[in-house]
Amino acid sequence: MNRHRIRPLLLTLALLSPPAAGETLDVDSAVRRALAENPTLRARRQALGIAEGRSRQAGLLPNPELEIERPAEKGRDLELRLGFDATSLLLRKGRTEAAAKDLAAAKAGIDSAAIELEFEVREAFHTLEDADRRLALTRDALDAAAAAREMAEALLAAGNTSALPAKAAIAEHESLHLAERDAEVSRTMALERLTRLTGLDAPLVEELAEAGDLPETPEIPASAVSRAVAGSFAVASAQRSLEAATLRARLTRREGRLPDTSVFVVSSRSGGEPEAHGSPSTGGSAWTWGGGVSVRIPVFDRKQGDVAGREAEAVSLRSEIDALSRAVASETREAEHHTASAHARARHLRDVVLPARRAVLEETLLHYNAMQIGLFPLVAARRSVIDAELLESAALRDYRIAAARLAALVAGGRPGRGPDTTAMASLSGNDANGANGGH
Amino acid sequence: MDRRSFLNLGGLATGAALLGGRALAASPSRKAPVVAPGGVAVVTPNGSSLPTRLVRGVRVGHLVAESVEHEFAPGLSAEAWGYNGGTPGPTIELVEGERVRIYVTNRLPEPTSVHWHGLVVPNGMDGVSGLTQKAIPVGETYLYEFTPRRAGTYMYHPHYDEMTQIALGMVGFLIVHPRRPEGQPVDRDFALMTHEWSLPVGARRPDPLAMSDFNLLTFNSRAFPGTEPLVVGVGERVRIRLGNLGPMDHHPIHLHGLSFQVTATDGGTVPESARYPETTALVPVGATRVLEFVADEPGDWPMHCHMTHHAMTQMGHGTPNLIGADTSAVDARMRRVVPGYMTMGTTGMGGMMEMPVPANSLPMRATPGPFGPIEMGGMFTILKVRENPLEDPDGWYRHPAGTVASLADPARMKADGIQEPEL
Repeated sequence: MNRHRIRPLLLTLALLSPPAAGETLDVDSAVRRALAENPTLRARRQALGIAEGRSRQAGLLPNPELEIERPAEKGRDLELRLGFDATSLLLRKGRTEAAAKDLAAAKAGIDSAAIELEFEVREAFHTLEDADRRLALTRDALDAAAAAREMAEALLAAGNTSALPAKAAIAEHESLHLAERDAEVSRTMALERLTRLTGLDAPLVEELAEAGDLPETPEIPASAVSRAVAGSFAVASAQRSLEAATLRARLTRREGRLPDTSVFVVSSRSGGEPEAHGSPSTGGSAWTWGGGVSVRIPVFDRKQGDVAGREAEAVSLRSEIDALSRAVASETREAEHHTASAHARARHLRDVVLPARRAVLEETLLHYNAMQIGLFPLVAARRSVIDAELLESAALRDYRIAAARLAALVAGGRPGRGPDTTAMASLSGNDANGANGGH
Repeated sequence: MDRRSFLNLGGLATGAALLGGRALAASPSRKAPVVAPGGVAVVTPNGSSLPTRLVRGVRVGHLVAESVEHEFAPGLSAEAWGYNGGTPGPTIELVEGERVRIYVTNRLPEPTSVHWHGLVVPNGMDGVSGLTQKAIPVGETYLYEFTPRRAGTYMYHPHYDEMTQIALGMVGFLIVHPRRPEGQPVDRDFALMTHEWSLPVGARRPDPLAMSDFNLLTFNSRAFPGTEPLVVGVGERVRIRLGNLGPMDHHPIHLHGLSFQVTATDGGTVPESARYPETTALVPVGATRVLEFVADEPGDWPMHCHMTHHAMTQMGHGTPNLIGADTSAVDARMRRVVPGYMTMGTTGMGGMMEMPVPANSLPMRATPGPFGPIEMGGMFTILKVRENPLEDPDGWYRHPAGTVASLADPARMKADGIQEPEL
């Protein structure tokens, strides 16, 4: 999703209806719901009013100053003085421009947050998809272990074996109950994360929509790195802040050089004899008008310190933009590589490892039919297929998360790396990388 | 595939083996069967005899040691080693006192030699590589020449890397016919070589390293139903020459429907005074036994090794004993875990259904017979004793009415004082 897609999308959010049981939820619907309902994003949007207020404030004219004085001297009973800060008027345009840049920086920050939220929702959705599959596969493995246990117990009851095979099968079956509990906990965590992100008060009730197949080629946008750097909201936000700082430095320099000038008009009324002590005369009075300019001469304080501070801020922001650009480029290259390798891994599991394990199961069944082996190797072969299916599910999840991260970067966001979900362990503790992991 | 199909295929295989023998351009052509005066030709079921010819009074033959594509039975083949395109090698028939010259060409990937097992020859012709001769290098042809001095039933096999070469099928009969008739003349003369192989289900090459777990037992390197039956006439005198060059096991060969006498071994003729009637002859590893009998009871009579695991093909030993186990709960669950699963063996091993099994294997297969499946395999063949052996030799024996065991009549049971037990 790019920045041009976000705003029209936000406009349609009001049309969303609340979730209902029995419906299915796909990842795009979850994203739309989160963009509408996520409380953190809503707070960020509301905080934009602060910058908007500042911008508006910067464009306002300074108020005139009215002084009313009753002089003590005889013959003058009232003096009016109206002054106006002319310097502020001269600096108003510059202040307005700087505030506009601040506002633009804040808006870029919100666009970035929306994209990063979209990534988080996609990550949470695919993690929940995997947790669902993992739970179902763990229950399949439990079923297989139960079959082995029942066979071992039947053989023991018939007097055909010692207690050893039955005890081993019972231990294996009972151990797998722990894996089922772990899978349930993982699913609950994933569900709650998606619930939080989509801003719901209660857990999601919809079924997740059927996950699509792995695409034949990894979804890597063309010129991803240059597009990510050019479209980065973080870089844009820093750029606007730099522009604001540059404008403020110029404004401060100008402010320091300009004499602090106020213009004013004065009107005074002179009158006749007072009617009583302390009371103005009510007859024979006349208003006289005059004016003047007040200038504070910038001889010593020309805001040199403030100017230096502003200039330093601009230099710092320039360095920050450079660092940000480099970081975004590096993260995009990393995401490209991760997407490609995750796709290759998922495809290898889908096209090579899983068919190979299924072929072993099929051949094992033929050997079972031929009475060359018993049920236990057959169950082991099925468990091996389940392990491969678990790995394939985790690999598919990793690919979708990696592709979502890359898409978010290209769209201008800067998503976090998220949890390291690579090489999830199979139930037997093995995975294609030979590493151990798991929940 | 029905039995008739099996037998037809078996005939085709035999024909192909013979054609393979003729295709050897360097081999001398056979002019006539080598038989004793007044005798009959030896028949090697599923096998062949070595073509030979007389060259200036010397019988000349040519053995080619080579790898062969061998069929044990329809559906089960392997890469074996043998002679002249087959295993066992062709039966070599010689005549007592007649000089013989056998050329041996080595087309194996390793050296070899040929030992004339049981035959007394000049020491340098005994074929023991390293001890009595150099091993025949790959691609070379060696000459063996000797004069068999004693009639009898002998064998030949390599004496170089015997474990591998014998295990892969390099065995054969060598029969020396007597110059003058000896004993009672026979009407039929068969030669059957027993052998045992380790061929894992689905594999295509026997394992020569096997020492105990042989799963394929054969007559003339064929497993039932691939074995060609022995067809004889009622009242005919029959000779069956049995040899054993298997790696490890002796075989008690049992014949149904008759009794026989062991008339000779590879050590010589058994004096008549030492013979006694038998129905089972134990054939030790590295020995021959010659059985003779008169087939006077018509029918289809099994002939098989009586070690029960030797009369079945590719029986596995990795499956647990399920007899008596209540697997009803497992069945329902396993059909969910592995679709296509079915529990087998809880009531015994008989009556197995046709199920998909690994390619190139014949485990636990029954052969259709006239009354149902024949649940035997391996070292098993059928002696067909018929009034007219030329009439329908491939068909099943047609039993006279009332001569086949059948369901008992309750009224007759009662009349005979038999009470049917409660089940």
